[in-house]
Amino acid sequence: MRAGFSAASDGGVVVRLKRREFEALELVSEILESVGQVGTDPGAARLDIDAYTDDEEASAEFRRLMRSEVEQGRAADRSAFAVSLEAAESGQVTLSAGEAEAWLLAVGEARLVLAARLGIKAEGWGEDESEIDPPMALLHYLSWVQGSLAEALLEQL
Amino acid sequence: MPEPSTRLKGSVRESGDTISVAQEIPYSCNMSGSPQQLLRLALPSTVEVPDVDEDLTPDRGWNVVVWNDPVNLMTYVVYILRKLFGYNEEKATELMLQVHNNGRAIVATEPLEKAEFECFRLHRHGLWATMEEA
Repeated sequence: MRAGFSAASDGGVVVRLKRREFEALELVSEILESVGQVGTDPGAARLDIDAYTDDEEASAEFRRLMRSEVEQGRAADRSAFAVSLEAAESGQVTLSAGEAEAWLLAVGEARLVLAARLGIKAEGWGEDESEIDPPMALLHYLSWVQGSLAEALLEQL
Repeated sequence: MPEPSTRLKGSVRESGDTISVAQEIPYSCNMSGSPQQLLRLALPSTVEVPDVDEDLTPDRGWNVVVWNDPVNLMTYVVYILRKLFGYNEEKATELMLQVHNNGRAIVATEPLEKAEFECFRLHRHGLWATMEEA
């Protein structure tokens, strides 16, 4: 069994993580709870939705219709993630397919928020390893989680 | 004689130029043009052709465009495209590479409401998506 995430025979995903990795994943919930307002938090701006690049009226209408649904879905992911993370830490190491999806989305959102707050706007940000502060280290770790989880879920398609 | 519509195919002319429609439309003119072009050809040259593009062009739908972002991993984008659109690995990988290399890719073309729904689902999954008329 490889470290990280692997496809389980029942369609779910098996989790194999060290204590420190669970601690890092607990920060995902903290990051998502800290998301503020679009005007002041670059993380919130990155999570905001849009569909039209050149039609402000249509953009506003799209946001009006879809924003609350997106937010409800994200809130459901966050709580499913938090509950199953706690279960995984106490030994329940197989996630259902639905829980694994919630992990993937919660981790993905936290990465977007972190990266936006770090001012990452272009490719190549992962290459400079000379200055890795804690938020950047967490972003790197969550990149690995995203990749490992996505691979496990791809095997289940 | 009133000036023929300057929107007839051909070069841009300065106002005051007098041209004949016969000069503008060669006999070999391709008749498989847009309905609007065909309409113009069927009309006498002295009639002002209204702008009727929207009314005559059949609805070709809306392109759902996914834009590159420097954060989501390639594997993740492939997974989301496969899950949301049912693409096989080859197709999803091809679209992901288009996004990565060209900055954007059209991942679906749908009627307006379906396109908005797909945009919504892509945003829900953290991808940056917009739509544009096909």
